[in-house]
Amino acid sequence: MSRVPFHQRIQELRQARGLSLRQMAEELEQYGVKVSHNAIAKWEQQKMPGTTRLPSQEVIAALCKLFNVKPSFLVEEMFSNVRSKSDSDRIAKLLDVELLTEEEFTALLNVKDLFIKSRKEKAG
Amino acid sequence: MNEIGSLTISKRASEFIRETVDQIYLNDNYHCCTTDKYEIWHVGTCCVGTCSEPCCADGERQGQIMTCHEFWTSKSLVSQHMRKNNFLKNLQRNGAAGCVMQIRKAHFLWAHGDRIYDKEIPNELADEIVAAATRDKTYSRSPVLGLYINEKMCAS
Repeated sequence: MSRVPFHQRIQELRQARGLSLRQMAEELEQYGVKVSHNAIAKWEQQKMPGTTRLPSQEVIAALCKLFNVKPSFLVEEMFSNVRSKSDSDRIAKLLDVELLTEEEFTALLNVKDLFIKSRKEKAG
Repeated sequence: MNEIGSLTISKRASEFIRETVDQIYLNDNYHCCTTDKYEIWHVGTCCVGTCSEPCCADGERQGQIMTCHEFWTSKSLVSQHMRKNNFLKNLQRNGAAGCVMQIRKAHFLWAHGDRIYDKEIPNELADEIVAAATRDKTYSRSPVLGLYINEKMCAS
């Protein structure tokens, strides 16, 4: 399983909090870093596959406070081939979904959506 | 257990790497020296080379010993050491990168921009992290160099 790239991770976190680019820039200012919404938009764009546009260390630290995540979670893409066995186990378990009926699979997706919705509500 | 390529490393080894990276971004670290290209920082138990730990004891400081400043300012040493280690290439491409460098002991290096952080890998985790980094082409070893910090370093 490949690691979630920084640009994707940051966009997911922002959207999970329901923040616009401008709102995120304003929130970051409360953590002592001044970035424009344009800068955030650039972080979320990947120039070329396999390349990353990372903000400074100070901004990474502020992002961690804003989203309540650890730096290693944000930059895990840089861990190249490092994979957790638990990740592999999860993937292996997900492969079993092939055995489910269409109805069972839909029910499973609904439960997943509920968990994600609940998380977004708590965060927001 | 965690996996690097087809190798597995223990959860402890994986946690060591993640915790070191977390510590680098969130905590104060020891700023050791500045070269034309990089700022060198040390993490955790690293010191200015004058403590009573074995790594600083006189008996250990023999052979061809070199400070981190001397290493990172030497283009020939850096290019020789990084011949089979993609650390600097990854850093240039991604803005942040990690690797393992082994001299007398194995060190985990993490860089973000022009800052390079160094933390010694605990003995009990070294073998598996070295094996994983070798597989990942982010490992290099030199039998003749030692990375030390001493009073020659300009600490700030």
